[in-house]
Amino acid sequence: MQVTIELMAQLRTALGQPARTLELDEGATLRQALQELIAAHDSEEVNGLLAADGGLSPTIIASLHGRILDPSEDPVLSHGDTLSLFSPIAGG
Amino acid sequence: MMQSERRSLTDHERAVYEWQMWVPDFGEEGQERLKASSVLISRVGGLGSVVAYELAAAGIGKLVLAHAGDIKPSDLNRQLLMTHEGLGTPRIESIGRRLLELNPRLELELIPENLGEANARSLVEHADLVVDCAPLFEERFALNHEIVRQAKPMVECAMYELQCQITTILPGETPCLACIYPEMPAAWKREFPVFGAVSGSVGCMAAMEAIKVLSGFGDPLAGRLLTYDLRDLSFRKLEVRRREDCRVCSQA
Ligand SMILES: [Zn+2]
Repeated sequence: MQVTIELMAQLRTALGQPARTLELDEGATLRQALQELIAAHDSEEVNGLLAADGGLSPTIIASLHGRILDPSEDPVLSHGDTLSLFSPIAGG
Repeated sequence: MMQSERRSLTDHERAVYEWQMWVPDFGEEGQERLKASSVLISRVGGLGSVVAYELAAAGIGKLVLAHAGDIKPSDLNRQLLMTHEGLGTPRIESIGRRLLELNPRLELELIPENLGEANARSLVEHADLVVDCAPLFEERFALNHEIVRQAKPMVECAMYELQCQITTILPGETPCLACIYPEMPAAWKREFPVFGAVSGSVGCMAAMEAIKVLSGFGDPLAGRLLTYDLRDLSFRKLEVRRREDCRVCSQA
């Protein structure tokens, strides 16, 4: 199945593209999608998406279906989903 | 929804604010509430300059403004209260002068320091509402902690490149900044790509959120984070949930 990862702020700058489509196995979860992304892009920003415990980093805003996810969540993704990842911004 | 006290208007003020008092649900009563209100803005750079200017134009009673340092050339593409003539002079002086040129009735408390753990408490005590325009997460978290403790609303806004985020925190009702970021982000860099038109866009929205909350009309961004990208003009509102275990607002 295909899932689109949308990248915002410094993550977008680090990857040099606004979005990336991943080919994932049916039933893949958020954490598995992020592991795929990390495998494809070895950079400090991308590696930082996952915390040491394997969950979503608590300093990344991840949204799916219009809602911000809690770092403890690991939802199963569906074909056609768009997962948006915002690295933290504080520009004033 | 909170509403401020009211202070009656002079005939001159009625003339100045006539066009905005035509806005349904705002009216003269809304204007009287703005006149009785005070807002803390920390800091008054690209974003905060526009928030302060719009609130001064709208007839806010008092602004408490915290911003350190002298004007540098690199301020001038976005910090619209600074001037070329003022290069090398304290930013806070230029800020005060420009605001009073627009609205000489405005009461100002000008603090030539940035907000931090040491002064957050007293600065927040001096205002009815806070607009967070700080360029560092340490300042943003210090403000968040205080507004939750003092139960004061805060408009939280930030930008990077052509992207912006804004939400309105109503302590006791909505999630706070630490619900959005359970840990302080470490990766944020102090200098970042920015156009003045981007910081100005979210500054105008933040001023409007402050006006709505203080005068008690409209539908503020409570529990919702508006994110947008001026590169392709995509806007979206994301639902933010309060964290049961939030280290700031769950104990308040
Ligand atoms: Zn909270």
